[in-house]
Amino acid sequence: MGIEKFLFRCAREASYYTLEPERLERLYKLSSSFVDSGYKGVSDTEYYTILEQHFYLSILTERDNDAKLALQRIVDKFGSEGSRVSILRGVYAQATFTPDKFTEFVKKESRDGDLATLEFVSFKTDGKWTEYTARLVELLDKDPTSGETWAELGEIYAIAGNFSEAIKAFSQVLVVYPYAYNIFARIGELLHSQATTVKDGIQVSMDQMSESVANFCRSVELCPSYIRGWAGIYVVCTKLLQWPKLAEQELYKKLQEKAKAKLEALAKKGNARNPEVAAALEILK
Amino acid sequence: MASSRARDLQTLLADNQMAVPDLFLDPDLRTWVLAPILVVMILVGLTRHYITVSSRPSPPLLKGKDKRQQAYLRYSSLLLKHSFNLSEYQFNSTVQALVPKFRGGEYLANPDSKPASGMPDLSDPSSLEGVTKMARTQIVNIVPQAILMSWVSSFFGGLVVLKLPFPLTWRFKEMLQSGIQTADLDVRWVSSISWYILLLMGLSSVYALLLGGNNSASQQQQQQQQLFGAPGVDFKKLFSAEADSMELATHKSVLRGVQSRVLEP
Repeated sequence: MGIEKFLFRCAREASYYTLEPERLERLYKLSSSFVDSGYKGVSDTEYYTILEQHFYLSILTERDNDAKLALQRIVDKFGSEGSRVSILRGVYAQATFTPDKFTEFVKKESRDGDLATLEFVSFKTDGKWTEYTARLVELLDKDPTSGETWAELGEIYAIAGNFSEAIKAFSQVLVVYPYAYNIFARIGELLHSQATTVKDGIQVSMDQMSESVANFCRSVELCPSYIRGWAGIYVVCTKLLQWPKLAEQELYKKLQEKAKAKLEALAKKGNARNPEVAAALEILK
Repeated sequence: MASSRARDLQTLLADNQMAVPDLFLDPDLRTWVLAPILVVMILVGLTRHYITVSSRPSPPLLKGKDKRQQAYLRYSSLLLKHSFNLSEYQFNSTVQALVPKFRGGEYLANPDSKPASGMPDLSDPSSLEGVTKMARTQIVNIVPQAILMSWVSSFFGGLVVLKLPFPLTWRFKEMLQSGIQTADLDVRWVSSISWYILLLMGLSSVYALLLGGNNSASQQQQQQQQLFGAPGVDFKKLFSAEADSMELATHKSVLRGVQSRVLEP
């Protein structure tokens, strides 16, 4: 695989968001050797995708001049008007300008709220939860197909302890990404938390618990090696089985056994330093 | 002696029987007719490519309201496609919240716009722009063709420029010898105007080699684009159709029976 194919794959996966610093640095060096070589034996789509990635890599590794150069090349090609380009410009401004100047920049340059996201993420770090939630809801009213925004809203509701709203938000993520097994597990966790806090009587709690098990089951149906899902099944089934009036004792008993067996097998296969494996071992004790 | 003379006679006869070319082409024809037409045609194609590339308008930017309109259409289709992930209550409440808004046209970018008719409306500046663009591309296509054609026929009319290395049937005579009225000339001879027409048809692979596959040096693809310009879409109708299909949708949760599915070996 050529270097350009590798870089293009990295850019498509957006792996630079999650890389640790040393690997980020290495990816940056690779990317800059490609971009500086001036080699254009790739299609325009690939070249500019790699250049966009190079911009983010430069920003993340604090090389403002490189970022400026990459941004300039992108602006030369696409103009400075489009929403994707204005987000790049916003990111550059955010990284290099003073906060006051940045606010000014957003006011001047933002069209249809392109840059609004960049601006209001600071509400989260500042702890202005109400404003932050309001802006998220506003964003979702503009574009309900943004699964990431729904997930963020769900997390905020979960932190606030508003589980039913959080579950609703995460369900909307599933409308956009129907096979997101981690979201199913997250909904299962939230239903479990809701069941443990709810004051509506034990029957409601039990219903929520079994719904939670169903969600965990769906997540392991989609991804059979998902430790979080199996752990959820195990924990919630154990709790359900403590209730003597449970309707389907047999089913939950079987589920609990299967989850236990699966967790043991996965823990044996996995690395003990992996936090998920460690958590599985903790649960099994 | 006698036998060698007979052999000479035989070879002479054989030479006579072989097809002797009935015409000899002046080598100057190659340098001053064949090559110039070829070079000029290629250069015209390249120029046309670069003119269309540089005069191509950038795609229009979607305004916030247009984006919102698109997003809601996409959302309703996603909702219908993946409704199995929602619980029945969630699905119904989402649909009940959306349907009146879809019918009321809350998400329309231009709620007051009239439904578009088939023909472009000349009083509307945006469609007028499309018409002028069409006319411009037509001109870019037709003008150089007309000029080249008259150039070839006035300067090189009536010339025979090359001989094809393979035989052809008489049917090809009209195609290969336009501009020459010689009834019994062999079909393999090609006239200058026919050479021009052959190049007009056959240069696209040369352009593909020089400019890459997706070029606008030859005119065919452009005409297709003109024919299928953006038709008027009636978003009001689209939204009410989506509302209808949301109301009619049946719901079945994927979580039903998932426990036993997981337990299956």
